[in-house]
Amino acid sequence: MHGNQRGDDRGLNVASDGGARLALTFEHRGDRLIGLGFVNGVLNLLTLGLYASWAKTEVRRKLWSFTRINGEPLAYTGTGRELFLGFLIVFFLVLLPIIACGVAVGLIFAGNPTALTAYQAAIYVLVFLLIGNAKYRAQRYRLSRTQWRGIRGALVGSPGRYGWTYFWTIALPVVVVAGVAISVALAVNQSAAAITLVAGLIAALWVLPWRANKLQRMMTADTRLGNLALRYDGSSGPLYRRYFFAWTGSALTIIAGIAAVLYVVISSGSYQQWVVDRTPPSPQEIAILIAIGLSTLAICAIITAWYRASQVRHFAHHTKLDNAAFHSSVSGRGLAWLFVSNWLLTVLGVALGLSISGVLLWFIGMTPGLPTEPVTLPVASALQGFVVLAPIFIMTTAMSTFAHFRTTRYYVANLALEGTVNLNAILQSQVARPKRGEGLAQVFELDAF
Amino acid sequence: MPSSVSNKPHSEGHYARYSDGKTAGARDANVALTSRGIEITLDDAYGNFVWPYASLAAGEPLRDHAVDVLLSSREVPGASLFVPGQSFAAELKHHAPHLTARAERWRNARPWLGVTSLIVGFFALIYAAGWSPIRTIALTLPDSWRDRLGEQAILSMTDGYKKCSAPDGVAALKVLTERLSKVSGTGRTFDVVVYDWSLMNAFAVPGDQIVITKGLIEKSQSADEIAGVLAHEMGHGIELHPETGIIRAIGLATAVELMMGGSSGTLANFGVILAQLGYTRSAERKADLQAIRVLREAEISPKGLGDFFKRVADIEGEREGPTSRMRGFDILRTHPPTAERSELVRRQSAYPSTPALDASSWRDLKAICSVTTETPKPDKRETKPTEL
Repeated sequence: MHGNQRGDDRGLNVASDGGARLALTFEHRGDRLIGLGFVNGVLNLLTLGLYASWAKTEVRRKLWSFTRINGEPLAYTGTGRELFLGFLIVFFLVLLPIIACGVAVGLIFAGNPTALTAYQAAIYVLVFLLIGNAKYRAQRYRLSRTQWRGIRGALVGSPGRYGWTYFWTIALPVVVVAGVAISVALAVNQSAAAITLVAGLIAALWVLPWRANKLQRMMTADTRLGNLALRYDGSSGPLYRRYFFAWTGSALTIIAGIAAVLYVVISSGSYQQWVVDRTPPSPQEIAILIAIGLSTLAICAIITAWYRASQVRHFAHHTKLDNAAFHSSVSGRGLAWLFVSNWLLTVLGVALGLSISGVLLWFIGMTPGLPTEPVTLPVASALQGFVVLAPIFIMTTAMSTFAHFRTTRYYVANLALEGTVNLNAILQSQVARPKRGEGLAQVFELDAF
Repeated sequence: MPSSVSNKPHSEGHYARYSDGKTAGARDANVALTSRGIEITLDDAYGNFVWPYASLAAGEPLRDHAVDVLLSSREVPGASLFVPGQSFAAELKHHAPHLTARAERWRNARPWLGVTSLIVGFFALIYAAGWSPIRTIALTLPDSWRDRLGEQAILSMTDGYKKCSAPDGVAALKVLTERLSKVSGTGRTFDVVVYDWSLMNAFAVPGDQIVITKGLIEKSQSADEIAGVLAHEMGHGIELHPETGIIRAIGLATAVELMMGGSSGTLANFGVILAQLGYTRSAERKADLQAIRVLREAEISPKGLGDFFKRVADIEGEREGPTSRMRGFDILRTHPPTAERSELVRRQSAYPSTPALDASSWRDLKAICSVTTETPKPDKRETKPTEL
């Protein structure tokens, strides 16, 4: 359109082979998205969540724009409308049928626990089958909406293939362990089988580095920047040295967590109370169990941070673009702190929200004649509920947007590209862009990005 | 700003980098804001052209202190223009106000604010008109479905407990149930079963079915108390609360999934629970009012119901109503404060009444769990009495 495009990258660091060195930076210039998160919280609340797709899109446009290659920003070209339509379609094609089938099965097989359990299990398997597919589709959508200098990204493989690999690499070990446990149950006794099951599942965690590497290879090999393919040449071998510590630590933590739950249940006589008498556990008891569960997960997340960091570095190191390789300096300490601090931000969001709710309630409490008559009660309840939940909702949205910003900043700021890329040889992607995106991932609440 | 992109101003207009979107290369450009649009002059004499303001899209919404701008235009799909420098961004805002964050947000949120107002208005109207769509659906459910739902609920909640089936006790319970059912106004006789379960509990399930536990019968001091509890649970049945509860739960879950899809699910679920609690408390009040009516028409004293409330209060350790400062936390209750409920009973004017059961029937009812039956399995519903 404007004459022939002569490669003209004056000002760039051009190497002798005609390629350019690319500097990756994260430049937010003081904007930490807290304000945007707050505004999005208010708008989501006022539109009963219908605005969420547009809110998410604006956050992404910011984060993409903060991410720079040689000072020039990435552009996110997706729209709220695309996200919303993608979600609506999946809602009506997947989620609503699942809900409707659940109700129908519940009515037809009323009082037949075996049929209901079988149905539940089938739904779990179906959903798990769809998760890898959903992740792939979400990544495909995002890449197709990511541009640098107008050149689009793309993901050219099949979501079904990725989804199936995602599924069987977990399902197979689990089925094998379950099979062994059942044999033990038949040959020895049930408690030996239970121990076999727990031990087997913990041992099965050893497939994770292999699996992660396999999935990363599929995803990376399918990724294109314009017409240029990314290459991946990593194997899972080097991951296992660090994984040994992560696995040992997590296994001990999980066993300690199970032991703690058993201790609480048995020592307080709760077993008698909950299982035999079927008394619902008291709020304190529920709180203790939730605390044990959450701290087990948190300790695991912190313990595995060093492994996860080494995995990110490994993946980056083995990802090649033209004559360049990625390099990540993400550290275990960094990821552990990111986890803890983002978690504290969530707590802070709830605390801030609750304080605001408290002040508002105090004001309403001062209002004489708060309606308590049965007829007006639903209105009063709705009002009270709104007063309590609205500030929490807004503050947690603001804080989670900030947390999202911090996570992205950490990963991008620690990413570099070493070597050169011949930019003029990268041509625009000819891959058709998906029309709508991410519906599946949204329905399953897969990730925040 | 990395050194790779120089920020030096050109002789006229602003320095920029232009990419045509065909390769990842870029070339220097000079841009100026004119009345027609952005005039782009490429350095190497490939000519100049204009991107009209209305055709522009920005990489991120323009903000007050933007230090650079990434633009694209519908005129040249794929092409992009990166303009470093604060002054250009500030000037552009005046020419293309539709690119500002505020304008974009308003454009995107306005339709949904409208939709939300309509939804809220619609529900307000329904509420004002006193029409309950959920109740309407519940009323159209065929009795066979309601029975089925009820059986399923009973099976799932009493799984593992035996049914109390001492013949004299069952007969006594039948007398009491029929006496109350006759005045319930539903035209159906309630189906009441007792389970050998030490927890003190009673609940109504769809299809006019009620479950009470051995624990509840043991802790009751008179047949009037049992009558009060039964009348209260029948109140739920008359108001179709079990049916509407299920429909509401399904409807709310669906609506929340639809509205909150992809955003913070946990908080939304908490909202659903609170909404449910709100309904539960109002339902309890309605059931109490029905119970009082049923008891009056069956000529049974409401004192039993009041005594029962008091006993529950003693067990819960809640003797006083909540202090006024705690009013805000009423929202977390499933039942109205017990003091309030006892007060409701006390306010009733006196009417002639007879005991709910005679002394010997009451003794029989107390002993209803001396014989128990295995809960029928769904596959073969034969019952086999077992002596305790």
